[in-house]
Amino acid sequence: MKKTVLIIIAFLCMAGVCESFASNPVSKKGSKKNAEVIKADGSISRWCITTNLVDWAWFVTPNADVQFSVARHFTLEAGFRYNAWTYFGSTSDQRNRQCRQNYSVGLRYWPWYTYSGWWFGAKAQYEEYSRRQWRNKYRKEEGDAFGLAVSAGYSIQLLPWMNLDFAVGVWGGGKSYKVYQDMDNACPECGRRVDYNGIDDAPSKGGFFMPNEVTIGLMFIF
Amino acid sequence: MFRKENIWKSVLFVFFFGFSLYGCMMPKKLTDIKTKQVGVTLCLPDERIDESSFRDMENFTPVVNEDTITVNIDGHDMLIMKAVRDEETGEMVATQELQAAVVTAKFRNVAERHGKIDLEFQLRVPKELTDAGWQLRFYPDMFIMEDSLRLEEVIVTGENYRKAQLKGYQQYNKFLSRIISDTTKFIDIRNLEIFLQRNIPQIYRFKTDSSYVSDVVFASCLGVTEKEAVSHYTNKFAKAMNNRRKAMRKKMYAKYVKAPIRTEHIRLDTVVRTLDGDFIYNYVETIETRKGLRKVDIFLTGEIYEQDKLMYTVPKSGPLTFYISSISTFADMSPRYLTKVIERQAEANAAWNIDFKVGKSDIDLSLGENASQIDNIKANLRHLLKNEVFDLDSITIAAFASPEGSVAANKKLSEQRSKATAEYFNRFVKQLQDSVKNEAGMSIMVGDDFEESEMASAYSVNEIKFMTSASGENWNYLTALVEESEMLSETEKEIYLKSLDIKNQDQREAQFKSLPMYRKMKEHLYPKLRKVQFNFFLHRKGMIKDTIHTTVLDTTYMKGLKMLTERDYEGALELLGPYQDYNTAIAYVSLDRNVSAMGILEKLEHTAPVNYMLAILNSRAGRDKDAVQYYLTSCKQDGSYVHRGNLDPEISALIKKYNLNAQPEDDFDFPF
Repeated sequence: MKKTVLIIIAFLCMAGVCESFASNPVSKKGSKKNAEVIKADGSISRWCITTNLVDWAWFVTPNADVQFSVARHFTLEAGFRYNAWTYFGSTSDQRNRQCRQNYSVGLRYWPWYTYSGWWFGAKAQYEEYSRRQWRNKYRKEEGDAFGLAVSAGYSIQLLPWMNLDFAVGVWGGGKSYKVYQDMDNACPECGRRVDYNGIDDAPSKGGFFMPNEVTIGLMFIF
Repeated sequence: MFRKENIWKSVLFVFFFGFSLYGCMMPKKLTDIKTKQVGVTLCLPDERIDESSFRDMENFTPVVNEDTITVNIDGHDMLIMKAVRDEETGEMVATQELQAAVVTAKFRNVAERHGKIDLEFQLRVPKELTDAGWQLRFYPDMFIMEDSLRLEEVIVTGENYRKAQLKGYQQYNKFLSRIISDTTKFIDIRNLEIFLQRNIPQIYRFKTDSSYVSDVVFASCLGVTEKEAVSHYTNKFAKAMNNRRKAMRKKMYAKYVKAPIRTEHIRLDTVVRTLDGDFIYNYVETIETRKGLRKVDIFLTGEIYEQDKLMYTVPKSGPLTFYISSISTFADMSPRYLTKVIERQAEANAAWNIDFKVGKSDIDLSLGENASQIDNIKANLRHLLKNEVFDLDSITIAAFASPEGSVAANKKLSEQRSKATAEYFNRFVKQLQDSVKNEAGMSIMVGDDFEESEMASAYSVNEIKFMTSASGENWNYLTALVEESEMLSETEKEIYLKSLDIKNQDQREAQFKSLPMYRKMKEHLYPKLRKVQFNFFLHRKGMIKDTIHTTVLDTTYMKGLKMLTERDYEGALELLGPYQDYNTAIAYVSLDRNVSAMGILEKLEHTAPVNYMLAILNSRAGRDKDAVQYYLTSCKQDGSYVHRGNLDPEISALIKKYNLNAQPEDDFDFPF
């Protein structure tokens, strides 16, 4: 829970940074020498909220990603994915959790202009996860992962206030986890821990590199 | 039963066999043409080509000539012939030289009418020279005096040749259709619009306002201008490809349209499908006549093309000669003289403005432009006194006055002025004569055989009388000045003209003084009235009788005659018109103004040329009987007209129609 609070604080800090950018627009040198350049009214900053339809499809994982433009080519980004639902069984013993909490903070580089066309992103990401292992589908791994994610995508302008965003991303970093035998009662607190070191109950540590996201997202710009 | 494989094999065999046969046939035809040296015939339109000669052409059999010999080798007779290597197949092909074609006299007499000559000739292309895949191009060349002029081409295009041409154009058009001329097509409008709407909303508002023109550049709040946005949403690759295509237009035109269809300098471009006989084209070229044009030669060359490839050069044919005859050769070149009357007396007059002060009569050099005017007068006098043709007898000086003051006073004043002027110039003339005498005296000293009297008469040293005339107030000149004046308004002019009704000039003047325009008239017009007019009376040196009659060459007439012979009929008629003589009639005949010509000629003595002209005119009018009568009369008067008749179409038609020259004129019986 502590971690969750920390992440929310980090989120708020980022929002503050963005706000300060908005109030001090980055002045750009005039691109034309002779003609008078009149810039569009309003703030250079635009907010954008993206939600990934693929995540919704994946066990109805609520998710959102807030972006905030700070320069022609850059947006700051903060997002979350949080799934606390339990499927296939009502008792806690039979919970088949896809539970996870995922928080990220980063930035995107837009080669042409914010919220338009290609983009490349990098972000720091924390995730509390619980999922079956790739190699052994009867084992369940639960733990915390922290690392750096990179992604790339293309944003199609649908309407002045809406984009369709496509992206893929990977991430890598370190994780602290426990693995349980997950035959019929796979839960964090129950089941047989498989990676028990025989000394104490401390979680295992390790590194990882894996796919992070496949996005078909709706971006709402305002 | 055939196996499927075999059927395909046989189809392919037939296809290749047919193709190779076709390939062999084409050069064979060309080889034939090359070896036979087939050419094009140039002939005159009504020249009958002997049909038998063409029949011979078709059944052409090689004639054994000195190029072919028979030798006996190893007991076998062998025929040795001249052979050439076929360029296409590499085989040796026996050649046979055609016997030289019979050349008939290819000339015609054509008459020039209205300064123009119609050259008519026929282009006869033999059947064997045409092919569906070929284009024949014929180039008639005209040699006219020293110049050569290429006439418009005649093109005979084979059906397949034209098809290939059109296909080339089609391919090129297809290529052209891929070029996009509207560069906005490369812009992703939808995305651009959304971008502008989202980021540069001001410019989006102007989207429908076409009148908007400004130096102001709108940019997004992050500094991206509309121009950059347009550039970003432009498909640069497609645009570059399009530009590449545009740049390749010329190259592609050359690639696809190997033999363009020409439209300029072409007399005829005809597509032939199948020809049963020869292709004949009647060519008519109208040329302007030029000075001294007697003869025009026409040659013809040609080429056979298979698309852009020259297959064969048709041997040069011709010449076809046209001899030009002109009516203007009938012009009577004998010189014409004018009787000129030379008068002894001569007169010259000139008016100068010598300004006088109001009421004064003395010549004041410092007044107005007097100094320069008097210099002019002196220069004139000097010129007259030294004139070698005329002697100066007397000078009349008439002085005028402006209307100020009474008529009587002005009359007197003008008298005084004329006298003062006369005295002034009398003094000048005396001085001048003295100086001339002195000059003569100087030459006396130098010359050895000098006769004084002759020398004296060479210069005007005789007494010159000065006569004066007091013309008083110069009302006529004033009226003229008022009418021309730009200073006076129309109403003022009318007031002036009305005032002329007052007969008493003093009263008239008095009335003027009350008018507002008087001041203007007095200041600007009156000074011009105070002028002096000079009349010089002269006589021809050494002439005692009053008039002499002499003859001089009538240069106008001779100029007109020259124009007539140079065939500038309009110009000639302009000059000769007033004389209404034989040469005028020739000009009329040349211009086809037959009635005017007839009017003159009938009044003239009926000499041979007059009769001949009348024959032409009657022939033109369709009065054959009169025409023949006149022609025969002219032939009787002058035998050379017998031949001349063939040169003029009006007469040669009669000769042919009535067979005039075949029988002695005396026995001629009119077939009417």
